[in-house]
Amino acid sequence: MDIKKILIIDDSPVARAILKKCLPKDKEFLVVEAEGGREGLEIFKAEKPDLTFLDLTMPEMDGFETLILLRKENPSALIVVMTADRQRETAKRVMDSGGTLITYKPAKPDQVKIIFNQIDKLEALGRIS
Amino acid sequence: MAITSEKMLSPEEKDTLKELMNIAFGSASADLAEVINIYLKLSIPEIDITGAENLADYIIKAVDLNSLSTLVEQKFWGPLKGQGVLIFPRAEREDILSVLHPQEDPASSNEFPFHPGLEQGAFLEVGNILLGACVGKIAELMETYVTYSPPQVLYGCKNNLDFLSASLSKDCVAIILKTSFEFYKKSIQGFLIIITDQSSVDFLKEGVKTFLEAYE
Repeated sequence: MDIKKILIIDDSPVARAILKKCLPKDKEFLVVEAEGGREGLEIFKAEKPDLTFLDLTMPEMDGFETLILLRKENPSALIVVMTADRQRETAKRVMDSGGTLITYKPAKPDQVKIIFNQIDKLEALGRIS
Repeated sequence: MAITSEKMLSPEEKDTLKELMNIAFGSASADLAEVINIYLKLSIPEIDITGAENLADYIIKAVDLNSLSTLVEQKFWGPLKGQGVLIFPRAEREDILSVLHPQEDPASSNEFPFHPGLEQGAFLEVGNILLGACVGKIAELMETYVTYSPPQVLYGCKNNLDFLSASLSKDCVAIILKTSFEFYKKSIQGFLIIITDQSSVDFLKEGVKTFLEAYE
């Protein structure tokens, strides 16, 4: 899948900076950032990113609420939840709320590469378009 | 002498410590969920700095400590040293225990089989898992290790919080990493607080640097 524009929604500037450094180095991306769910939703509507990374634990509008609204806005969007919350119930709630994939903090380059590979596999299987 | 948090830790260091606490507690909550069938709703961590002499007042205000409160305290040592405190400020102990240690067949009785040994054991188990996993994960992310004292349970100790600052010099400052959580669909809130002092500041700064350097 040709991913060019990436949106990162996370209230932590450190988490956003780490994730940006973990993106594959062999490709160029335009990265846009949001500090919270509400801002993320607005940027999502305006920028139409190819891939969105979404945190869950955020002030005001949390990641679950944001995910539902993002999914309502674009049912076929690629939304990867990146969270520190490793509870199984959280993973279930993410997938029930429309997350494409879930992965865990802290981000690592190999882990982000796997995410990109998984997206390619899902596309090949016709699970995403 | 008032020592501001800005002088002790830079905004980037504080943001990184918040993220480390977020990662550590997220991991600890999953460890607890593996042992007990509960689901925790997590919150955004906070970092505060206060004088050691004000620590008890800080805790009382921060978590609304009162006579109902239950605390589990555990000390840790190593390059990073201090104490972890798990606090359930307001809930009745029976209510917390019904979540932490539910009956195998809830339909068999409306009464929770409450007795002191079970109560103490449940709190110690939960404290040990959450405090140990959280502090241990922070140490791991900073590429170091800590050792722990056995946890202890304290009840309604609003007027006797001396144990919190016992290991701190009176003229030093306490660095507080705090996060709160709720048992999902239950009105029970808890706090996990990690307290260290200025003797660990250099290590915290170095630990933050080590964590971030992995991404350079």
